[in-house]
Amino acid sequence: MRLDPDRERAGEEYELLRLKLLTYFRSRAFLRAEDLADETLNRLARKITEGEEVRDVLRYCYGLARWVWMEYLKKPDANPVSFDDLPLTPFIMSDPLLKKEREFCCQYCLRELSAGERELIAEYWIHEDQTHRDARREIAERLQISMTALRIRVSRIKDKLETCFSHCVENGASKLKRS
Amino acid sequence: MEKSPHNTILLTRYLLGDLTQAEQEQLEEVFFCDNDLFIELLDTEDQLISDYLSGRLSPVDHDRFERRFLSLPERRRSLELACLIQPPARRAADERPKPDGETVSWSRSILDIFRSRRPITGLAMAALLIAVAIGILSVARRSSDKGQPDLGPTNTLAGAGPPVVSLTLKPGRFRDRGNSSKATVGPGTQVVELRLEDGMESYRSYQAGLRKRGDGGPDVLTETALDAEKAGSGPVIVIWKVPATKLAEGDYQVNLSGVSADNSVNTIGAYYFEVREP
Repeated sequence: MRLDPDRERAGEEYELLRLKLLTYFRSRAFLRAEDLADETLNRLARKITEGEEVRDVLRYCYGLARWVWMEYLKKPDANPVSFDDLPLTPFIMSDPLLKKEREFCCQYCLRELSAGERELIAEYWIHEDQTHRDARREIAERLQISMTALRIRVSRIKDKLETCFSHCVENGASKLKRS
Repeated sequence: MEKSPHNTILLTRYLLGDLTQAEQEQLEEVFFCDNDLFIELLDTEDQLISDYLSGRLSPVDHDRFERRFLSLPERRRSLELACLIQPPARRAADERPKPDGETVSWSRSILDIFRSRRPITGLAMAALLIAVAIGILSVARRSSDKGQPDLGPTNTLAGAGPPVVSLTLKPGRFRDRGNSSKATVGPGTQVVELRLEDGMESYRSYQAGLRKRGDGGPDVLTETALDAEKAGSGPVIVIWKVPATKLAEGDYQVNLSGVSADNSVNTIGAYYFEVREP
């Protein structure tokens, strides 16, 4: 049983499935959505390797996600919250040095992308007179890929940027400046 | 599932947490199995972010967006990244001179900068695009001292104005210019938060109309479902987040009404404030 007979498309389906799981758990105000998403995918992989017959992988995965969430709620240390309960700390960046450091991190991380990745992100978002969907359809047609594939590519680039930015901010831009 | 306006509304409500649990679960089951719908959900999320950045969300949706998108650490980091690069990049795009006899769209000018041979500038423009893609948070919220106009903490470059300006207003029978509250709204300001003191009585909901004084025109903005807060034994405070795009320089009046449990509408009072540019 596979997500798709084509290896590359199977990879795209996997990434899309992971995004769906993240969306599912984030909608429940769960702070560690990636942990539960990975747990769900691990269980799916285990079922497959154990030889269990799964006719509809996507629907099966949805059921697994619900099961994983219900199991989490039953744990003694579970602390389900609503969005209203989560602290909404205002974003304050009045410190000019702090702001400058983050600006450096942003530019540094953009430079870490390939030229093609920067170009794709630029085109993905710049479309003054079009809706996002129409503009992206044009890009997908020009690149001769599906909308799904385009979305997956952009998600990968965003992940790279955010990971780089988090690392830069948490470890200090000054270390990167010296390197 | 075919794309339709109904889909967009449904998906937007899902993203803002405005569906019942049954509706939410039903939608989730569908988008798990329908890749096209899920891609549409992601596109709707992007559009929601754009609307938030442009100040096009209603005050209620604006609050919901912040609660859903900023309270999770990974999304917060994305917004922090975007917040850093949006104001200077947008200002740079707006200030770019146009070639003689040619109208250059904002988006095209940004793409041109991005493709320029000046890597630093190109990267700065790319950073703007990433900011839009990831989502921008440039809101700082802070309660103001009563009667004093409060400029929220700034996270933009100097001169752009704080992203949020908060005013606490009390009802007045007429405007006393010497004591009116003033909001300084710059190009970087996105929201003017009006905190309207109601008194001790609280209503089921609140309605408000905003008009510019002196021009005799109709309300420039109305809201029929405002929230209120009450801290301890203090007065009820009705909160109205007005997009800065609706507030040109001038004198304004807010007419506030309370809706009782029997749906009767009761006039609470008029509130006055000024909007001035930095």
